[in-house]
Amino acid sequence: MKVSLFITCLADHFYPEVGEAVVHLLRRYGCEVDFPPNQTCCGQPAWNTGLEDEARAYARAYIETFENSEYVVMPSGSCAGHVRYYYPQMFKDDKEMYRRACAVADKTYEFSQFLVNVLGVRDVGARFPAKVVFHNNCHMQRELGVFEEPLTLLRHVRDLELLDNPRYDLCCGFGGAFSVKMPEISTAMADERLGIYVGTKADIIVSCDGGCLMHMGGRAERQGLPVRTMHLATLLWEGVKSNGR
Amino acid sequence: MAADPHNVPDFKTRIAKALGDERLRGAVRYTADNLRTKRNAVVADLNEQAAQRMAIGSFAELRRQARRIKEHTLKHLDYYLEQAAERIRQNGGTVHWAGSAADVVRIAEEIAERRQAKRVIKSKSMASEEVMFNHALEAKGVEVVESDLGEYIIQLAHETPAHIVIPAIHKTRRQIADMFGAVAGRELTTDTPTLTKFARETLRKKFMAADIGVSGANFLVAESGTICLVTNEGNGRLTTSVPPVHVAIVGIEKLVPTLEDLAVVLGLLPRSATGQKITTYFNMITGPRRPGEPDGPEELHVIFLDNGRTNLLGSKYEEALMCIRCGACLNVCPVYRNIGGHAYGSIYPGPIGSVISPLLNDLGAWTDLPQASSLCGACHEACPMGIHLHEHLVSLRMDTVAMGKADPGFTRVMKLWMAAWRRPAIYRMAAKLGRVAMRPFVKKRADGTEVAESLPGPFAAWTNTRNFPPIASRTFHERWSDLEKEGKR
Amino acid sequence: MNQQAFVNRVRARLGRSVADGVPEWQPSLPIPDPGPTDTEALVERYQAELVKLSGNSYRVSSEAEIAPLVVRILKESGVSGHVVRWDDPLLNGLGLDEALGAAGFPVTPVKHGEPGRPQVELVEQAVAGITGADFAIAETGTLVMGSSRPGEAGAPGRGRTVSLLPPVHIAVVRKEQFVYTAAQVFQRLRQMGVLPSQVIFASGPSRSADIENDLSIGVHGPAQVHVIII
Repeated sequence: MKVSLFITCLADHFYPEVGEAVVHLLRRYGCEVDFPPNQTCCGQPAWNTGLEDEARAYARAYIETFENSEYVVMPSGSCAGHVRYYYPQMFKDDKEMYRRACAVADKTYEFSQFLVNVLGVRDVGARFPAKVVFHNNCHMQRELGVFEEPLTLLRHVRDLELLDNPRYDLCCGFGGAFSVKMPEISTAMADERLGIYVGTKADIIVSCDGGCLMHMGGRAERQGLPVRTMHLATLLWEGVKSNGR
Repeated sequence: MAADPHNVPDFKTRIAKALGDERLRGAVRYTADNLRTKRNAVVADLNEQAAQRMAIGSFAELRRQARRIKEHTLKHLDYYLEQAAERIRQNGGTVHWAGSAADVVRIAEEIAERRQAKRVIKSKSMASEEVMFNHALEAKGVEVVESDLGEYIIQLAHETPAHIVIPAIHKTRRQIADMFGAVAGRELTTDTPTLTKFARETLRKKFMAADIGVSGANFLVAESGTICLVTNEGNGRLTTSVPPVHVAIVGIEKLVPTLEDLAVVLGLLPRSATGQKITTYFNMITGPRRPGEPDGPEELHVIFLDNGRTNLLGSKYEEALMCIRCGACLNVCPVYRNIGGHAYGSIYPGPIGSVISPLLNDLGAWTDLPQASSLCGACHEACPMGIHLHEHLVSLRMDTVAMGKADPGFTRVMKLWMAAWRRPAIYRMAAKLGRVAMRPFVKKRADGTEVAESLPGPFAAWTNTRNFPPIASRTFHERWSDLEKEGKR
Repeated sequence: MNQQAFVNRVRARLGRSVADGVPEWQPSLPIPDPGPTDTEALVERYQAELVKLSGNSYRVSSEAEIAPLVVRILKESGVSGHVVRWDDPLLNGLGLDEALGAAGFPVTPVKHGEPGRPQVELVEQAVAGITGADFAIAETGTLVMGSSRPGEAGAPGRGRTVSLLPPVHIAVVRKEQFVYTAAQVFQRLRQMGVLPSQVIFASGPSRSADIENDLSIGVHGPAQVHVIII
């Protein structure tokens, strides 16, 4: 099976180890991974700040880069949600581009979604002794409709205690440019979110999106909270390595 | 709509004030969570009942039906307005047409003048808040008293509602007892029964003495000209039964075609608003007192209100007119729960307020509100009408940019950045440059990891409260060739 | 603004014209009737729902039991004073006036025909209001009461305020008046043609949560609701 990796700008710049983990895990299941070098960003920052034309240009570039791929996998529920949900909308007045946008959207997957729903994996064979709470990325659960998949993968990790997330609906306050345009509200949102997680006594907040991790991680560090953040792919791959399999 | 006097001072100041008020935030969170929990329970119950064929439909089915009703009504609104007007007149009512807030006030003043009315009693009505009804009539020497307990508290405090369903959530029982005590001229205890009894007795006198009762409408049935009100306290019934004149201010989006359509919208509204299957009272008014009836108003006036609504018809925002004012989007909104209703500066707070306040007014004067969202989409998920609230917020941001009203510095930087970053070579180069530019601000910690705790310029807004990670020494792009080789081994 | 100008503006925005005529609309119903049809099951569900709303219900097997029951309810309510009731065939034959009068609760049927507001003031002074109902909805514990008999133009004698102003509301409802959902009531109201000037759906006593989210009963409407089912 051939899989094209879309690294996403945040993982590319700040969390490249997440990309490595994704590549290693996909290869474990026999996927041939390629990385089109002309990829940049999905364009969500432009879309969310009201720069419609610029956002459309990013969509066009993504479509051109990936339309010949068999599958496109990315370690971000937010970016995958953006591609799947908004790309077709952006071209609803252009029949040909709409068709191409739909086609590429249909084969775009968030990493855990791909692992569980396409590869049929539930247990990656990892061991990771920690108390973990999973943070549901807003766009992943609402626009992409991915909710159970990462939980399924985590439940099968040996020695990992998956704690209940009492408010899976609450946003961490990142929201892209929102975090710098409305920093006070954004920080207040992070504080409430983190307060709930610290209350669960989790060691690690796991998520499938660099934005949430950067935001909650950055705030937790600044406040000296006894909790750290980790991407699901990183956790799984480290767990596989430490399990010696 | 005229400029809203509540839209001062500026948004940033209002946000800071709200965020600094721990008690307010506690009350807002408590109320939002309470209503959300009740709603979730009643929705789960409905779905279970529907599965056993013990309800007219699941929540999703009712939502689908309700959208169908509202879509159809909005697409043919001219017809239904005329039909409703004709029926209201046949029922013995009088119909008025208010294009603007000022029209409502003028019509109400004319009615008051003709009736030589000195006292108006009101039941809770967002439409009347929208046109600043109380303020305008009081300026003409007419006493206007709010009769909804929460609205009465707000009126005594000279404030505006903090929540569209439960307006006085931010007031403590101590504050309420003090305000009621000032009216009573004696000290009151702070227990709920005492406060409720005082309000009942005081407002009952106001009802009996009122010359005019003013209400809004939750729905208006076009085929019968029936005004429908959803209330729990009974003040809506008093307002429309006791005073000799009843005036209903009705936004044009409140129409539904037939009586049978009511089952669907009534199935959604109380469940979404307060987690009730039905409110204590559902009041259907089809005309004033008829010959021989022992009570009810002698006159019934319906004021159809446009006030910017027509501008949404036929536009990409038409869907926002489906809103039934349940407040469900407020109760799930992570922004609302942190800043409360007042910070929005509009009588419509929360996600729906951030969408319709700019649309009913002038986007140019309300560009801040659509920015006040992380676009998490919880509002859309909760909305019983399935309004795509977060998408409309993005659309409004686009309109703001197109109008040239977006924050100029920020927008210029974003535009330049976005235009450049799209090019693969520049994108890759930018990582290298960024790494160099960040270097002076990156600190090495004892464990060897690196962090930026204070960045300059626009990034300071982040690092004032949050750490920022440094750009990796090798980006994924830079690591790929090694990974590729590894894969070929 | 006049109707013409107002509606024309709407019409222009929608790109419609007068010639477009009557829109085709299939009302949301008939949604298939859910729930039980068995009267006994409907009454039981109604009672269960009303209890959740802090209302009280009583079952009697004959009309003769009603007047003594109402006396008992009023005595247990701890109120004293005069009582108002609908002047309606539903209630006229129950001997309420005699029984209640003898027990110290003088009854005034709310007469119609008087212009002005003497009736409202009378009702406002009453300690209890006794009404019938047109329907009872089992799913939600709701009574449906028209200000005149639905479908019968010119059949008043009920009043909007009898079930509203006094602190105690007592209603008498017959088994055959029970339906399962509000949808069925809307459907029947539609079939009846002319609607009463007011139709009230009342589900338990008046309530509010406006003071610190704390539930309070009887803020404007009745604090006690007693439903007698024949």
